Order: sequence, then C-alpha cells, then structure tokens
Amino acid sequence: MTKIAVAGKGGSGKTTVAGVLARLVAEEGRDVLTVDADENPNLGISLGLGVEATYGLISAREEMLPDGPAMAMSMEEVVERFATQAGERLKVVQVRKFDHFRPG
Amino acid sequence: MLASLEDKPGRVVIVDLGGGVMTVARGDESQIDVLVVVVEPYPRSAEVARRLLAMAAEKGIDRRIVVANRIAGREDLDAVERFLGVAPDVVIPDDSAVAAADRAGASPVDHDPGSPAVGVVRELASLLLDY
Amino acid sequence: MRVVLLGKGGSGKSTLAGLLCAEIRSRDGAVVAFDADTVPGLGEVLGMPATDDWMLAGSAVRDAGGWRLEGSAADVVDRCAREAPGGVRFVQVGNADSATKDFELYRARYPDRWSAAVAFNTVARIYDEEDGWAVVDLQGGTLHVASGMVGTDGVALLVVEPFAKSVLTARRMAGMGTWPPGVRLAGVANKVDSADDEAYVRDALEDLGVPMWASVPLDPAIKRAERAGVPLVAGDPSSPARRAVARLVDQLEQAGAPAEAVRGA
Repeated sequence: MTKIAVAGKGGSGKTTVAGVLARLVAEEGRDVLTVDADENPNLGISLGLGVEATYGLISAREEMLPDGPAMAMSMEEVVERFATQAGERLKVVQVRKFDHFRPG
Repeated sequence: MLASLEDKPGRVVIVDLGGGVMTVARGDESQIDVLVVVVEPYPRSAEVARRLLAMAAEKGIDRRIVVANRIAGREDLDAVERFLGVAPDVVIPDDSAVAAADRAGASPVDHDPGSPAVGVVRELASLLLDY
Repeated sequence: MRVVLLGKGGSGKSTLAGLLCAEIRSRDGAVVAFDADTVPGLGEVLGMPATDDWMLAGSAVRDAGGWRLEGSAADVVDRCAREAPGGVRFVQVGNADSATKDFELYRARYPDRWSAAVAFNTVARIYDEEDGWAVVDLQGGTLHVASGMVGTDGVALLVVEPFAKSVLTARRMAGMGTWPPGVRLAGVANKVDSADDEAYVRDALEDLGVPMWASVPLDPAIKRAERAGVPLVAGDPSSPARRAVARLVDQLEQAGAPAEAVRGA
C-alpha cells in the first residue's frame, strides 16, 4: 500500500493534481482511496463528481458525534460507511468537519 | 487516522492536505510514504513549498516530489528554481484545457484526457508508483 | 472602516488587500493591514521582508479567566505594528515553520507563538479606526470565517475567481449560518479575463444574494510586480486592476459614511 499526500499553497493546483492523479492511477487498474482533508473540500470536482455532488458529500467528521461510538471506528470502518464511489476502483472520503459559524 | 487503514497490497491512498502548512505541521507524517508539493512560479507559492519540504524532512518523510504547475515557458521554470532553490521533479505546463475544466467544474481527465497537463500527471503517476 | 477579505485559497485576497492599501494610501488615508495567515503572504505583497516574526508575542497574557489583551487593540497595534513601504502599518500573526497536533505541547514549546496567535485573533477581530482603515486578510478557506475572525462590523469582501471551486467556496461561506448583523457581505470578482468570466461570478453571487461590488481584471502588471518583488504600493495607479480597486474603495467609503438625514425637500 502506498500513501501519498499532496500539499501546496492554496490555489497552486494541488487539488487538481491530486484528483487527476487519483483518476489516472485507478484507470491503470489500482485500487485508489482518496482522502480530502481540506475543511473546504473540493477534491470531488477534480475527481469528476461534479459541483453539486461534491457540495453534497457528507463529511465523516460531521456525522461522527463527539462522544459517540463512531469515534471508536477505525479508518477502514469510516471509509466503509462514509466514502463515496468516484469510479470503478476509486473512492473519496472527507475527513474534516464542515465549518459553520461557531456560537459565542 | 491513516494508521488504522488496512494495508491492502496494491492499494493507493492519496490525501489532499488542504492549502498552507498547518496540516503538515500538525500531522503525524510517519504514516505518509511520499509527499508531493505543488508549486507555482511565484515567490509566495515557493515560500510555502519551501516550508512544506523542510517540515516534511524534519518529520522523516524521505520521499518528497516537487511538482511545478502552470509553467508557461523557460522563464517560469527558472523562476521556480530561483525562488524555491531546487529544480522541480515534474513540470506541468500552463494548459488552457485545465482552466476550461476548472471553469466547468469538471475533472481535466473527463474534459480533455489528451491534454498536455494530464499527460504530465500520468508521468507523475509512474514516478510515484514505479509503473 | 473595517474591510475583511475572505475566499478560497489562491483567489487573490492578499493581492487585493495590497491593492486596497495602495489605493487608500494614495488618498492619504491611514491603514493598518492584518495578515492572519501563518505563511508569508500579505507582508510580501506590501514589500515587507518575509520574517517569522510573531509580532504580538506577549501582548496576550494568561489570567484567571483565560487570556487577557495587554491594553486595548489600538494600544497593541501602536506598540507592535511595523511600517511597510508607503506608510502602510502592518501586523502579522506569524509564520509557522513547525507545529504539532498536540496543542498542550505546542503551547509549552512555543509560548510566544501561542500568545501572539491569541492576541492577533483578538485584535484582528475587533480593530476598527474611526478615521482610518483596517484591512484584514484572512487565511484562505472557511476556518477563519467560522471562528469569527470577520468580527461584528464592517465589510466582508468575498473574493471569487471565475472557477467552479472558487464559486463553491463562496457558496459555502454564504451558507455558513447567520452572519453577524453588523457585517455587510459583498462580493468581488477577481482575475476576470472576459465578459463571460464576470457574468459567471456575478450570476453565482446573485444566486447567493451577495451583491458584487467590483470586478477586478486579470492584470499582467500585477503578476510581474509579484514576480519582481515590487510592493503594490509602488505600482502603477493606472493599471486596470488598480483602477477597479479605486472604484471599490469609492464604494467602501460610501458604505462606511454615516447615513445622512435628508433635510428639507
């Protein structure tokens, strides 16, 4: 298993590179899991899911209650439950909580 | 988080870390095999890239790949080398097909799979996964 | 007048902030520029050398209730702001070169950075000058907006590029919940290269109920200045982007002017 992280200044093209890379690797026949760790998650667009689907993607963090049993889930279980299929061998999971205005 | 992923042979995990340095700075990077740093030919982009590369080295991420993006010519390439201090490993050209895909909210792979930028990312894939 | 810039990373917030400062200074206005990002950004645009200077270190101290600012926000700014070329006063949170997931450990290891960040977040959120300007450049993305860095007064400028991801970010920001009632949310289309680009952003902002207050063109002179490290305050005031920003400043001045009672008639 190879774990690749993509980073760069905002706007550098990092998400586009990550998404295109993921698509190409999946098309080569490898099993690909993409993880969107941005609190403003746009990877879905670069994977080809489209704007509306990307906007509607559920964040694993959002669904996990702070003290609930979900926090005891392994990453594998999180993927099983919250990942979205983006292609035959391609999945995406969002892992940051969506930002709403915090009270106080 | 990545530590509890099943080590399936042949599986590839690609993490989009978000802009800036804080995700790398705060992350437990022992889980990462290779860090790809994307940089544009501007001082501020290079400054972030420089810090990311330094942090990654500090955290023991031994494989670090520099991808120069939106390179329109020799001048842009020289600018990256000058601002960053190293030559990039992969050079993605300024590609109107990518801009068009961005505008449409589509993936460049769907919008124009034969475009130069997509071709270079294919090379990046080989570089990362030893095809 | 308080102006806070928000938007997707890379949309041009820092550059716009710099252009705003340049325009304000050309009108002999006083301006304090705040860089809330932990990587060098607005400082470089303003012609300050990139330093890791955690400028507000020591300006917040721990007390029984948590943290307390040493003096008023104005006191802190007077004490800590640096002078950038052209008379722009500049305050940055500081630049990160390392960190850790463990906040306790971070605070113990870097007490100066921690106090600087607390002080900065407090000051940037509230600083407002009656006869001057505060221009606050937030980090790209939604985090700073959600944590209240916009404050409760002034104008929040949502910077949007003519690309789907930038528009989606704007959509998320406009939909974050109830915006503070004292904040006016307005949009700025940035790096506009065609009438189609402008319409794209204008339509998207309209869908969100956010008025578009300016359309700033893609300007090769700006890119050249950035490459050459020339501060925007020294840039050509007649360049297309700068002229668009001049019109934006007119609009901001109008927004900040107290409502005049209609007399007579």
